This record gives sequence, C-alpha cells and structure tokens, in this order.
Amino acid sequence: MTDSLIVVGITLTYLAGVLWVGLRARGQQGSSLEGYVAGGRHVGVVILFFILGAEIFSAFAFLGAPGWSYQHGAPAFYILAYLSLVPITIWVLGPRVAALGRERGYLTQGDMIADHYRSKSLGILAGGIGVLALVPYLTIQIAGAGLLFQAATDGLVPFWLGALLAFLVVAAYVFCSGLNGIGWTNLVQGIMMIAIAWFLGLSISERLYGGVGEMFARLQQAAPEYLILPGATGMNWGYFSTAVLVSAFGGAMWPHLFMKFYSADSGKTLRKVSVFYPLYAYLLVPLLFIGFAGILVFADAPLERSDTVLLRMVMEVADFSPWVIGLMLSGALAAAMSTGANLAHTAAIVLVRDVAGPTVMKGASEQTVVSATRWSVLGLSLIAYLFALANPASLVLLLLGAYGLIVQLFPMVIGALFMPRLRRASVMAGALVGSAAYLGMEFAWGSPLGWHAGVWAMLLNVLVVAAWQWASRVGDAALSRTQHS
Amino acid sequence: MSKTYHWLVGLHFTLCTLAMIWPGALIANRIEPMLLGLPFLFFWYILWMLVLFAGMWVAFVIRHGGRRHD
Repeated sequence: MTDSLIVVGITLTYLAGVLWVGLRARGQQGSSLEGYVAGGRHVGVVILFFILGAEIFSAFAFLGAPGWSYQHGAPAFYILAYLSLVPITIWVLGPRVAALGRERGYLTQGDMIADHYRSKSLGILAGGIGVLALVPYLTIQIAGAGLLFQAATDGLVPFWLGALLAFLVVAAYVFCSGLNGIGWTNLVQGIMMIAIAWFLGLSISERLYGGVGEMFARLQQAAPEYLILPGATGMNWGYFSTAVLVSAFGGAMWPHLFMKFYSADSGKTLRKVSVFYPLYAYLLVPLLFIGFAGILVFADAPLERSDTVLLRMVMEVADFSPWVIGLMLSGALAAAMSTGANLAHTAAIVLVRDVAGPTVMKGASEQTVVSATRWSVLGLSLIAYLFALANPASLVLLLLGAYGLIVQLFPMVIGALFMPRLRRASVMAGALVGSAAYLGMEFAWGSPLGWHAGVWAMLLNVLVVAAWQWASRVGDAALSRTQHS
Repeated sequence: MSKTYHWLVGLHFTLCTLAMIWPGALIANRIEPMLLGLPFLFFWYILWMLVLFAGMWVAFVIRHGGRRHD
C-alpha cells in the first residue's frame, strides 16, 4: 500500500508539473485563431521537433511496441523502419504546405483541399473523416492512461480515475494555451519519455541477463527464430514491406501531423526537423529490448495480452523500487498524454473549421471560432473519455476504417501541392474507389498476396485518377473539335 | 537547386527505404555477426536510421547551409 502511495505521489507531482508548464505557455498569441491553432506560424525547430515526435510516439510506444517484439520478435523492426522513414514525407511535402498555408491562410487539410479544388463539400468530407478517425485514436490514448495508472498502482487508482486525471490535465492546458501549451509540454514529456525508455530498457536487460549483448546471445541459443524475419509468428515479407510503406508515407495524411506543417516558422525549419527526426525513432530501441527480454522470462507461461509485457516486466519481474515504478508510469503517461493533447486539439479545430465552418457557423467572427474550438476540445475529450469507459469493441474497427480512408486522400493532397492539372472529378473518383476497395479488403474479402490492403487501395486510387485524367483530356479535345467545326 | 541535387536526394530516400524493406532487408536477415551486442538484423535497422539522418543532414547543409534563401 505504501508502495502504491509513493507511485501515486510521484505521478501526481509529474502531472502537476506538466499542468504548470502547459498553463504558463499561454502567451499573448492564445487569443487569435492563428495563434491558438498554429502558434501564430512561428514555431521553431526545437519545439516543432518535439511536437512531431510526441504525435508519433503515443501510448503504443510503451504498450504496443514491446508487445510486438515480445510476441513476434524481428517483425517489430517494422516500427523502427516506418518511424525513421516518416521524415521523408515531411522533407518533401512540409515546406510547400507551409508556404501555401502562409500565402492563403490555410490552417487545416480541409482548407487546402476545399480551396484548391473549389469545392466546399470536399473540404467538409475530408474534415468529417478526420474527426471520425481522431476521436477513436484519442480514446485509445485515454484508455491507455487509465490502464497504466491502474496497473502501476496495483488498483489503488482505478481505471476511470487514472484516465480522468491524465486527461483533465491535457484538456486544461489545450483549452487555455492551444498549440503553445502543446509545444512546451511536449518538450517536457518528450525528454521524460526518452530518459525513462532508455533507463528501463538498459536496466531490465542488465538485471535479468547481465546486459543487452548477453540477452541476445541467450536468445540466439534458446529462440533464434525471434531474431530474424519472418519472426516467431511468420509474418511474410510482402506484408512487412507494404505495412512499412503505408505507415511511413500515408501517415502524413493524419490531420494532426499534416496541420503542424502550417505552424512552422519557415520551410527551412521543417527541413531541419525532418533531418533530426530519425534520431527520435531511437527512443523505441530500448522499448523493443524490454519485449525481447520478456520472451525467455514468460516462455513457460505466455502472457495473455502481449501489450502488457512492459508493465509485467517492470512490476513483477525486475523488482524495481516504487520510485522507479512511479517514474515509469510518468514516462508512459507522457507518451499517452502528449499524443492525446495533439489529437484533441486537432479534432476540435477540424470539427469547427472544416465541418461547422462552412455549414452551421457560416460568417462567425474569429472570436467565436476560437472559443468554439476551445469548448470543442473539452467536448471531444469528454466524448472520448466516455468511449474509453464504455470500451466498445467496434472502436478499433472505426479507427482502422477511418485511417484507411485518410490515407486515400494522398493523391488529392499531392494534386493540390504539386500537380495543378489534376481535376476535382478525377481525384474524387480515385479517393472513392480507393476507399471502397480498402474497406472491402479490410473487412470482407481479405487482401491479395497478404499485402497491406492500403497499398492495393492506393494503387487502384492512382490508376483511377490517371485513367480519369486521360479520359477527360480526350473528352475535352473531342469537345473543342466539335465546337470548332 | 540543380537537377543533380534533387536526383541525389531522391536516390538517398529510395535507397534508405529499400534497405529497410524487401529486398534490402533480405540480405541482412541473419543473426551473426552480432554487433554492439545486437543481432545483425537489429543492427542493420539502427545503422540505416543513422544513414538516413546523415544523408539528410548533408542535403540540408548543401541547400540551406548559407544564411539566406528558404
């Protein structure tokens, strides 16, 4: 009991610290829309690096990633691969998005799509899909926080209370300080995450095996299949490779990532962030160690849920003091909260600007829009919290479905950025066919060759766009001939 | 920026991507030799993360190294 009290004490101190940093960050820019949404387009290299890092490293980093290396072994390198490839997309798209945003006042993906293709409904559609994907994603972060709290305190803080505590803090600083609050807290939480991850990864392999090298040598003797592909569960190369591609290049279509391009103070800043970005992926390396360490520890009694491997190792196997457990909980909460803050912020903006803006809130003043966005942060966080309590089984399906649809916006966005000749009708047809094909493969037919369904859907999408472009060019030529004759 | 620059950056990105998936990772798919205490395949990923960073750093310095232009 006293042990759990120490854990709770450390974690509450950490939460209070984050709250203080988040509220203090409320600068004078908080009151304008551009300030609240995009930090006045003045966010520099360091903060932007930590914002983009925090977005990618969610509760999944501490729960799912060690779970993968524990359950599958080498296929977990897929996570290292796609995370380190994400900056390629930032390098290529970022500066152009930032420049267009500055020039034309865009703040969301929907803004750009609606304006470029001269179609309000296309913007509303993109926004609607965005909110549908962001809310379940936020729910997963909140549920992760609750789960971590409950496990690390031996049930002293129950699921509902842990989730509530963590996300009250998040909602409070996002409500008050907007992107500035997110930036400064992400800096603190990012450093916390990195420090805790390396400490845990190294000390667990040290305590159980006498070092990382010794651990892998033991694994080579006892379970070598975990150390190379296709891993212990036989993941095929086609799936491994296509999953890396979809996650690395489709991932930038997530509104919370994409919209941060607008907040950079220059294209050069974005490039610099992308240069250093692969280094952030090293955060995951020690967390994968923990999963690998669990393979032999739980060899006789395999875990029912692989994503509890880190918690079980820290709590039961490695015999850490409650102080370390408290820090572990804080670090893992940092991962969930820093992603959650971005998700709540983005979902609220997309809802108000892309979905409500052109419909129910037409002609609203900037002041009204800012306060509507603020209250939406609270409203959407509450909805996500209730979802987390209800824990509907369809949540993951909703996330998966909506994510698949978001990736299909890729050709539309590329068109708006680099290929002005792409027409509205062809990118719409491509997105529709791609989305339908994705949903069909994911939920009904299965995917050919066992590849990631997103790759097939994207190929179809691009084919349809190309065919439509060609057909409409031929059609135009025929039309102009008849007019001239 | 010159065409060569863009080609080289594109080549770097393609190379790093292919090294981490099929077929690049296929040639590294073994345990021995263990380097830094890691199985070779694990080390391979760590190495290419660093290669990606280094190449992008060089590209950044060439393009944005001077004080001005964006």
